Amino acid sequence: MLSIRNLSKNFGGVAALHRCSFEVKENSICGLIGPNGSGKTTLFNLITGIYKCDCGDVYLKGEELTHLKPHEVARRGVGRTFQITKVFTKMTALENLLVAASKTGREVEEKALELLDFVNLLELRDEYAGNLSFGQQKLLELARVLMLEPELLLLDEALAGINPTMKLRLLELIRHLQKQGKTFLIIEHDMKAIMPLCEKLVVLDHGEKIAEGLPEDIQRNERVMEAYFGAIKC
Amino acid sequence: MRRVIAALAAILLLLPFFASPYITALLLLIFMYITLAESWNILSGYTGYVSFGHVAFFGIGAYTAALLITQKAFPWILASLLGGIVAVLFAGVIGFICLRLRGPYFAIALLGLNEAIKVIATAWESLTRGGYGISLPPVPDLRSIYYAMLLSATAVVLLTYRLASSKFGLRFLAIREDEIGAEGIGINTTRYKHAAFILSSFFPGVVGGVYAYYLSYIEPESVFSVSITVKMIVMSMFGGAGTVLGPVIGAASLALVSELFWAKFPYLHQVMFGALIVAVVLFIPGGVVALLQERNILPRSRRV
Ligand SMILES: Nc1ncnc2c1ncn2[C@@H]1O[C@H](COP(=O)(O)OP(=O)(O)O)[C@@H](O)[C@H]1O
Ligand SMILES: [Mg+2]
Repeated sequence: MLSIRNLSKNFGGVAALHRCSFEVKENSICGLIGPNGSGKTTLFNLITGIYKCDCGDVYLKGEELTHLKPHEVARRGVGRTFQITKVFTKMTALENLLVAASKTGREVEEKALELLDFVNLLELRDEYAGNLSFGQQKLLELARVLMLEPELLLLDEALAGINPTMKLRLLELIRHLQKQGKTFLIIEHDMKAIMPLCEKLVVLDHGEKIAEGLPEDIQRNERVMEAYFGAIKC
Repeated sequence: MRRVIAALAAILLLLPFFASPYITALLLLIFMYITLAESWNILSGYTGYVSFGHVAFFGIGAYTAALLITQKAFPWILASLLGGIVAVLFAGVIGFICLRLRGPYFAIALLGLNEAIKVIATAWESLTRGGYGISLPPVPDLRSIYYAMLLSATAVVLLTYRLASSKFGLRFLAIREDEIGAEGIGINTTRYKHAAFILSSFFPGVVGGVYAYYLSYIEPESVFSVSITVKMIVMSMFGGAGTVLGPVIGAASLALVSELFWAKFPYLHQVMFGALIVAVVLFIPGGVVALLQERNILPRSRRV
């Protein structure tokens, strides 16, 4: 589905991402983990065309995404949420969804209401997004991106900063969407929360992929433990 | 609501037949400022790309019309419409370059652009007579000017109304709120910004032409004056940028106040506009419309 090949990005001499390659299988949930500053968000920005990569390629279902603009990547079926949500705070929850639709009309509105219901925000549809809690904004952002009917969803720290109930709800939603055929690449700090969800984990450290594999193997991988928990300790 | 609008339309249409020339002239200026402020609002209020050079379109329209009337004997209405079209062509080209810039860089670039055009209009004496300005034939009938300005104002307000309640307007607002977020949901922000830029340039060009004909004399300093841009901004923000009614309320009230009280003191006039913009930003960032919406006097709708 998604194929990352040799992707690199430097910021003024700092290698934010260095020769990173991996694959995300269709209809799977892949976790992308690694300590703070390891290049996870940078990778998302490269896939979605917000940053231009120094070298390497990104393919979606065999089609090259590498040099497309952000809105073109979105139209090709890659939906993305942001670490710090980018909902439109001065629009209502419903407007946030409608603005993402390429058409207008009754069907679009019905679809938007359905999605708001899906993320439990139907009652807040006329509330300004800025008045919603952080967790609700994350759910709204997910619903908004679903308006585009993406095949691949990139979620940046989807679970961070939201309360446990909301977390469970979100995990449930992700599983549900996977059953509908969607593919996920999820950045997450909380290894424990994400492990049961993922078929595969990719681990970044200082811009390099240091491990890739089944969650239980990653958990036992020494290099990962060192990078991950070593970093958290100090 | 419909009745109120119908009554207002009837009054405004009949007014020149019983009002004094002074009132007619005051109203036509108000319509002109409504047109200018609402046009600025389409770009800057909705997409958040603040233009400090919007008077350039007004000046381009004024010069286009003045030259067509004096040198090619065009009828003034046609000349004014062509003034709008030249402004649009200009915006189409300039937009490509300037809309790549974001935030303050865009604002400054347009300010510089207007100054550059003003210099060209001054220096190109063989065409524009430079600082001497251009004299036009006298206006036979104030009423026709009044109707031209009324029509322009009505058209741009209706355009904004249509925009505001369409997907287009919502997408402009998305760009204002978060451009990267907007691109992330598949919005081609370049295209939408360009569209807003072009839509916001036509009517200033038209009323620039009508204004040139009305004044019978133009020179670069008067039709490319930064103070006209400042008025567009202040009127729009005072009434409420990014709303349909805001610039109408702002332009009508400030043009009236400035004509009745401040015009007697030209320097104070500038100071008052400066002070007002500070006060608005500090105390009513959403403008009069947001204030009225908070008090439930106006409905919270994009159509307002
Ligand atoms: N726009 C940028 N300009 C300069 N440096 C950046 C930029 N974006 C990210 N970086 C740097 O790249 C590295 C990786 O950052 P990031 O991808 O945000 O990490 P993560 O999401 O894994 O916490 C960091 O050292 C960060 O400072
Ligand atoms: Mg990050």
